[in-house]
Order: sequence, then C-alpha cells, then structure tokens
Amino acid sequence: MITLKDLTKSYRSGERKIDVLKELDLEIEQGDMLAIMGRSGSGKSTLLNILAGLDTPDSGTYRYHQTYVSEMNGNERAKFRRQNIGFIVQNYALVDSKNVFENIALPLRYSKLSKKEIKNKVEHMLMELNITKLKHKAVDTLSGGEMQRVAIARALIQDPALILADEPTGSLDVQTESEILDIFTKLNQQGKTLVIVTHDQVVADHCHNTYYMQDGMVTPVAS
Amino acid sequence: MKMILNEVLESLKRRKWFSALIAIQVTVLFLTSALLFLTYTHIEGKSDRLQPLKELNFYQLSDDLASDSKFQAFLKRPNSLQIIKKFYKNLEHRFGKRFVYLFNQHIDVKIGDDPKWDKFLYGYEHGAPIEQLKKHPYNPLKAVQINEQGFTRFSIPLSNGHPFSAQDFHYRQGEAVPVLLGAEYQPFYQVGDEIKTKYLRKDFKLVVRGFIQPDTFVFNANNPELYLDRYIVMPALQFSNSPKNEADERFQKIHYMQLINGMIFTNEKPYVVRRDLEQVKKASGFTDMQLIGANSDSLDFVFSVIRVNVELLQIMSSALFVVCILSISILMVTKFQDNFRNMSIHLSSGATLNQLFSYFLAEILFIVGLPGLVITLWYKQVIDVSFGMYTLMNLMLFSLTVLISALPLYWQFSKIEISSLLKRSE
Repeated sequence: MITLKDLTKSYRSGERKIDVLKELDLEIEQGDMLAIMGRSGSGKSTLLNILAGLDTPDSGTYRYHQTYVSEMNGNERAKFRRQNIGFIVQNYALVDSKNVFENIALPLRYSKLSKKEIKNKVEHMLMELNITKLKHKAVDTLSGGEMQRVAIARALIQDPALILADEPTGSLDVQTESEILDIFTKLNQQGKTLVIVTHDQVVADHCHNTYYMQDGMVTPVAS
Repeated sequence: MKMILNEVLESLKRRKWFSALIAIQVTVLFLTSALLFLTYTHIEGKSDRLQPLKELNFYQLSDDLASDSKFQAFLKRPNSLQIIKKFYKNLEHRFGKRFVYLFNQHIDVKIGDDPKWDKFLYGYEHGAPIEQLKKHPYNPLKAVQINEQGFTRFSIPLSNGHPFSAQDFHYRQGEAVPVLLGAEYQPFYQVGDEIKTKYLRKDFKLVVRGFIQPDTFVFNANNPELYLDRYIVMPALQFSNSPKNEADERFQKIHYMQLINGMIFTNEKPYVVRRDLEQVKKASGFTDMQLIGANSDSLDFVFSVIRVNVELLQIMSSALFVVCILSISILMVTKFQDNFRNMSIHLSSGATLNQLFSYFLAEILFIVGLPGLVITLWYKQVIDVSFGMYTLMNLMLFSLTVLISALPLYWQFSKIEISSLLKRSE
C-alpha cells in the first residue's frame, strides 16, 4: 500500500518558482496497475521520481507500507530503491559501454551479491523475457524493442514489488508496444504493482485505474 | 572496490583521448617536477657551499710583472727568491685565513694514447683538437693548487680517502706529495696509488690521498664555477729548503710568483685591505704588487645567477602546476557533465551520490597516481638523487593535484539535485 499525502514540490527556473505538485493525495493498492496521464510538464515524471525515491518532496508524506520514504536520507532511499523499485523509462536508459548482461546486472552489483548469484539471476531473467540470445551483445546494436526488454529485465532483476514506468512504449512500434504491455500485464498478474506514466490511451486501457494529472494534482478518470 | 575499478576503467575507455590527454599532462607535470627538483637540489647545494662566502668581498692580488722582460729581469735578481718567499710569508701573516690561493697550473703525467684520458687533458673543454692538447711523453692534465686556507674555506667534500693535513702544505724532500682526485678519476686510481709527474717542469711523485665528491666546485677570479670532477687537486706547497741548483731555484721562484697571486676574502673595507697590502709590500721589499678587482663581482655573479635560477624555477613550477590543475579540473568537470545520463542510470539502479562521487574521485586518483608512480619509479631507477625528499615532494604534489582537481567536482555534486539530473538525462 502506497500513500501520498499533501505532497508538494516546486522548482526554480531562474527567478521563477514553478509549483509542480500541489498538496497531492494518492493511494495505490498493492497489486494495482495504474496509468497516470496528463500534458507535458504537468508533473507526472516528478511524481514518478518521488515514488522511486529518486527525488524528495518539499513537504507532505510518502508512506510505502509502514515506511515513511519522505523521511529517509539519501543512503536510505538508495537502499529503498534497490529493495523495492524497478524503474523503466522511455529512452531505455542503458549504459552504452556495458553489454546486455552487465546492464541487467547493474542493480545487483549495488546489492553486493556474489558473482555466481548475479550470473544465475541475470540468466534467469534473460530466459524469462526471452532475450537469452542478446546476453553478450552491445546495447547499441539492439532494436528499440530489444532495448526496452533489456531495460525491463534490469528493472525486474531485484524482484521489486513496485514497478514504475515513465513512457515505456513511447518509442516503440505498435507490435512491440503490444508485446511490452503483455509483459506488464503478466507482471501484474504475478502480484507486482505497476505505475505507468503515459500519453498513450492504449497503455491506459491496459491498466485497472487511470489518473489524470493537472495543476499539480491527480484526479481519477472514470473507466 | 571491484565495482569502482570497473567503472573507472569503463570511463577511461569511453573517453580514451580525453583520459590520455589528462594522463599526458600529469606525466609532464611529474616529469617537470622531477627536473625542477633536481635543478633545485643542485642550486641549493651550490648555494649552501657558497653561503660562508656570501657576506665577504673578494679581492684578487696580482703582481705587476706583466711583461715577460720585467718578469725575467726580476727572476735574475740574486735575492728574488728570498724576497717573494718573504712576501708570501708576510701575506699569510697579515691576512691569515683571509688569504686564499687557488691556481690552475696543469700537472704533466705520462698517460699514453688511450682516449679515456682525453677528458682530463688541460684545455679539453676549450674545444681544441685532442692531437694539439697531447704532448709526449708527458701530457698536461688539469690541476689546481690550493693553499690550506683555501682548502678550509671551500670545504672540499670527499667521497673517500682523507683530506689534506697542515703538514701536507709543506714540501718534504723525498716524500710523495698527497693529492686529491676529482670524482671522474675514480675508475682509474685508488687511494694510495703513486703517480709520477712533472709540475712546472720539476719531477714530483704524487700519492692519491682521496677522491672528491661529484659536482664539487670552487672558484677564483677567472672561473666562477670551477668543477673539480676532472681535476687533480694539489696542495700549494711551501719550500723551506734552499734550492739545490739553479733549476730548482728557478722552479721555486716561479712557484712562489704564482703563490702570491692569490685572493683575499674579507668583509673589511677596500682601504683597509689596501693599507694592509701596502704594509706587506713595505715589510717585504717587494712593491710590484697590486689589488685588482677589489670587488666581489665573481661571487656576486654566482649568487645573482642562483637567485635568478631559483626565482625562474619557482615561477615555472607554479605556472605549470596551475595550468595542470586547471586543465584536470576542467576536463573532469566536463566529464561529469557528459556523464549525467549514466549517473541517472546508476542512481535508479540503487547507487548513492556518494558512490557516484567515489567513481570520479577514483578516476582522478588513477589518472594522477599512475603517471606519478611511473615517473617516481623512473626517477629511482635513472636518477636516484635525494629519493626520500623527492618521494615526499611527489606525494605532496599528488595530494594537492587530486584535492584541487576534485574540489570543483565535489562542489558540483554538493549542489546537484537528483531531479535536475534525471531531467537532463532525458
């Protein structure tokens, strides 16, 4: 269960202060799959970053089960990310200088697992997502769909309970988008909670709940 | 640790030309610092050796018998030897420790045709063809004669053997004259070896008393830096015995004529020195003598060169250090800005900002430390002069370079907002 209460966040752009989140309230049930839609600059990505523990709110509380993430320091948030969060973005966010195996293994390296454990986990994940043949490939030789599968594999490698996706299908063709959405649905059926920021109604249609973000607040969209 | 090493190697590979540029610059910094250290050590050593002379004025004594006819006429005078011996004795009595005699008079030695001896030949450094410098069977080798006061004042350091004693400056009939040899003679002679020579055409048997440390120098009016590495240093002998024959008398006259052309080191005013010399001239009955160059030009020259050299070194090393630090800092900050995307990936994978900073710091340590280590090992293998001091200096240079290079990076990290990092990575 995730509870966001009176969450505010603002940025400075030169002399101007931009209020991105204004006393935002949101509750997400475990095992939910929800879409957040809204115009560019409405604060969707900021909300996702706060949920991931990458960013902190200016005020308000963020509770993850019994833990107050909004009160954690940087190191505690990094540990929280490692243990609970899988993060997927539109541009795949893969490290060019690492191959597929190394990219997927990256979060495990921060968890200080042994070499053997890392190898077993990565190979299992490669098999799960049907990308074993890509194991040693350089990421800049992959197609968009393959790169997104690698990014999903990396997000799932720690077996997180919460998966956050920021425009995960924005750069994909219809066929690949469909494949990725199938993966998300399967993950949700396995009990994972998914929060997907999207502009795409097709993606939103795959989710149980949809919220619309405007003026720093979220409102549920009737299904 | 392995993670840090992997990230550093990846970053170096990713921007190999960038990294190579920094490494080259750091290598140049450490290489130049090694050369500057060597030069500085050399200059400091020189300055230390001359320090006791720094506050003193330097006067050159010169006889007035400039023309050969005047000189020959004086030598033919029946009591000329007694006059100059008396003059020399009075000089020593009046001026004491202030009177220093250091004269370049070659010594003739049978050395054969082996070219290994060429560098010891008198005039070798002046560039004349070796065939012209060589004579047969005796060859003129570079030598200086120095009196006891000079030996004490210049504190000539030895690498082995024993220094001259007071008795060594008095000639004893039938005994070998002790000499000290310059450092480059070391492969050819040992302490105790005897050498048959001719000095001012008179036969002398020399015995090697010791070897002088490398790079030791003395000076006189003609030469502000007379390095002794290729010289034979002989005591300026005093002869208490009467000459045995005419040739011996002529030898002693010429020898003593050289001896009186010494130097006076003093902090007294010129008129005091002139007054004292006049008294010596009067008491000895030898008036053909004057003070020339009653100033400290030679010494001043050496000290001003040292001062200028030190200042130049300080300017050069400071400028080089600043340029290097600036370059490394700018390049590292550019790398940091280039690296936003990867940093955001690491953060979302569970890294902390401290861990990301540690990657950059490790890269700076590596890129500064590796060339520093290579140059330090090279210095140990090739140069190995004051290695302890050099290592300490390098450690300080390394620490300062890393610290100052990392400061702008630390500042960037301390003011960074993850949200802006994530936005910039998109």
